[in-house]
Amino acid sequence: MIKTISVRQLSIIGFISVFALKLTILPSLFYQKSGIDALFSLFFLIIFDLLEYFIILKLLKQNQNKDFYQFLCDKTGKIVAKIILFLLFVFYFIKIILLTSGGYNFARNAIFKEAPLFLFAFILLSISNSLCLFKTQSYARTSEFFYPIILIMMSIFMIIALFTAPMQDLRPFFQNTFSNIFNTSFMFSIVSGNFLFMLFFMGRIKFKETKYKSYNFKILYGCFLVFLFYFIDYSIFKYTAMAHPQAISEIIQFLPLTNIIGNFDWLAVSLMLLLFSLHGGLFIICLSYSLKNILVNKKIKNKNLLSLIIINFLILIFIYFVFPKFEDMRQFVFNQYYVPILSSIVFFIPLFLYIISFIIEKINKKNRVILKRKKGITNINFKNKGMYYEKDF
Amino acid sequence: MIFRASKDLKAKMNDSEDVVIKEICCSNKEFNLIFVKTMIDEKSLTYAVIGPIIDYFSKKNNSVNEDFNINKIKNEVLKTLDVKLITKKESLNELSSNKVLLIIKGEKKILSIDIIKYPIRTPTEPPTSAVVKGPREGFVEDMNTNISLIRKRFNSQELTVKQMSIGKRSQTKISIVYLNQIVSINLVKRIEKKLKKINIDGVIDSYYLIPFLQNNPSSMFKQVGNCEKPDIISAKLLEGRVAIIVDNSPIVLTLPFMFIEDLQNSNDYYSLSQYATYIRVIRILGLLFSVIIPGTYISFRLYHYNIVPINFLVTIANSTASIPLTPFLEVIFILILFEILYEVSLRLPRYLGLATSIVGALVLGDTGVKAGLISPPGVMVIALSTIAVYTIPDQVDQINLLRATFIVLGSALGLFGIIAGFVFVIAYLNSLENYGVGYLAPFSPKISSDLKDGVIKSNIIYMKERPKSIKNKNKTRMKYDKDN
Repeated sequence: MIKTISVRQLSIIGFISVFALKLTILPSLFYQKSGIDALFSLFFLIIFDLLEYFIILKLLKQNQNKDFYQFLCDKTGKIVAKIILFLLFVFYFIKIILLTSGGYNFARNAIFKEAPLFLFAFILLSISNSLCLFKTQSYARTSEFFYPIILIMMSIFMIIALFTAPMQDLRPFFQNTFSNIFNTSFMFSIVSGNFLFMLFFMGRIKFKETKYKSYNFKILYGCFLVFLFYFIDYSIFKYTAMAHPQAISEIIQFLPLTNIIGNFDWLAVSLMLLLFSLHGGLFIICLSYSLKNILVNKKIKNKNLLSLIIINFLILIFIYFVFPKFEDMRQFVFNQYYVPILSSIVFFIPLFLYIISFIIEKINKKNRVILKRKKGITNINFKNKGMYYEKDF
Repeated sequence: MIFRASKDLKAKMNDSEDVVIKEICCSNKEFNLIFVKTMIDEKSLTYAVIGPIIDYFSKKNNSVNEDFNINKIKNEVLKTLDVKLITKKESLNELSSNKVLLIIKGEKKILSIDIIKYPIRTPTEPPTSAVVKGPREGFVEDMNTNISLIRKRFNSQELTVKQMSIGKRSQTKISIVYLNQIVSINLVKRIEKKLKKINIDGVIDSYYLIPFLQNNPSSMFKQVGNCEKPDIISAKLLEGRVAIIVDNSPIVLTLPFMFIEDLQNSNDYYSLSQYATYIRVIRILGLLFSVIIPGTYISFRLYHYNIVPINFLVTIANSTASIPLTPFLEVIFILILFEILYEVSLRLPRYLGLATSIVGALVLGDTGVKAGLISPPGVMVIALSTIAVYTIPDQVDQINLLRATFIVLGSALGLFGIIAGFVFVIAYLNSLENYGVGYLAPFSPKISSDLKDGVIKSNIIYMKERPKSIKNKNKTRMKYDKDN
């Protein structure tokens, strides 16, 4: 297995993956559900995300020479592996539909007043597909290239907003019950699961570096920025937060800075469009990987291209015929119970894999001890399904 | 008497008029000199070849036959260093390589004498890389002079030169130059292998080799470094790169190449490091202005006027209100106008070029604005973009093509098109396989130690290691202790 991504690049992709739609429509939707307590719903989602990050990181470290599909087949068998990949495919498919639809909604309100959906989808899918076609190393390096730009833009935005925007007192908190708060977290779980993409990079990561702390810090900082963003958004708009679906763009317009240097909106718009492009690329990479391995026919020569064609075809069908309006999409994703249930299942896949992996390892260890007691057996190899041993002659 | 062998050789050279056979006869000994008249130094021929032979045989008189030996002629008589004994089979190759052949009657072997002379330009400051500080000499068309310009900077045994000929008909000499103790031998082998594979009729200039050396030959992005200055090449050799010198070309190629090299300039290393950093930031801004500004201007005017600060919007709206052309057509019109003026000023004699520039800038530009055909912001944007291209003169072609692409993207797809295009370009550059080196290193992949010579130019005392982005044997550049 060729190692093409460094841990630093992985953490950067992780950092970038926590933003996008979370900075536009989501604050208002969260607020609609549980008011100021939405901050806690978000907090729980972030905690779950972080737990997921550390579990996946451990899995990646333990299985450095295995491809994700190979790992799934080893631990769960081919059929379960394909089911897991299918669930992940559906999860990322909903995510990319949401990104396209939500992104278009943001772009139309912020910049393209009369642009058709086709225009936005064409650009987003073109760049996402090309990022996928350039291979993961190129994607990782591209994210690394844009990381300082995104980091600086986000940090400057936060600092300016924190120090110049007129903030309101958010108290009193906990006007909702805990079940309500959790329910909101559950309903929005599709926007979570940010670090699931790491599974698809299994076996391609060079785990040589030692500065894990700084890499984990990037992820934590990303999560912190998202939380801070919601805090700023609610502090500025408070009761009207639900009426501001273009959060980042509208916060900038609300800042007193606007009076000094004019309309500064293009900065937020550029940042968001950059994030949409990178997210689109990541989702397509995950979708393409899942579909490639779900496709059973071994005779298909160019599975990569075929999977991309199918994915794009499905996306276009969904955004044109199933969810032509963003409102339809929103209703589907955040109000139907089966989407959050699916998201939650997907969300627990890493935990499931970790437990399975742990149990199998433990059984193997036990068997190894038993076999070592038998004479003449020195070289023992354990394979996925059962085990075999070699006699040392 | 002209020997049969001489006649045959001339015939094989298609009886070219500049192939001359000169007969010498003294003390009963007969010699034929055969050479390409236009390619030899006639003075050397007279004083180092013909003169000594006549002198030798006239002094020896009758005793000459007794101890006459072709080796004696080679070692004692001829007053030139580069003489070798060759067979008749090799003679045609030698004559084609512009050597003088000395055929002696009755001898099986032939003497090949190297007294080649052709016009060589003296090393002057290259027009493409003029400097304020630092060495001013530049490479010339002669390969040996170019090697000597590099070798005089390395008084050690480490500088290695390997030579080969490429071109079925031109047999152009090519030298691969590197520092043996620094360079990765795998890199040298890889380059040698690529060069040996080339099967072409002629190599007229080093640029002919570039597509063969690139891993993505059809890519519009530069993947092989080129330079006209020996000091820069020497510095690159010290970083573990390999230089390729082609005879008859003043442009020396270097491998592996990274984009950052074109953001650097030799002036940066001869001036204050803080100033070099400042200039590099300006260059990056220049690059961004030249590529993105025209497309962004169109997209703002066409789609996103609502996100333009109101003061700018009013100014732009006032000056573009009466323009009959759409923003896209207006920008394309101005751009074509600028490109025509540029091409004309390059081709015309200098005094006429100046006049054309004045006519273009003042008459066409000013009257175009006054007539209301083009707007002042449009002219300003294109002028800024066109000038900014030259902050990175080595990438002018690429930047011009990118600018045109971004203009189309901006007018068709707006700001999102430009951002998507930018992401695409970066992703594409990151995907280029470039002799194991990241094209956009040290930014992506990030190599912290190499960032000391990235956008920020650190003081040389802090650059203790060679670039890690290039694989090399010896990592340490210097050992410097600030306190001692």
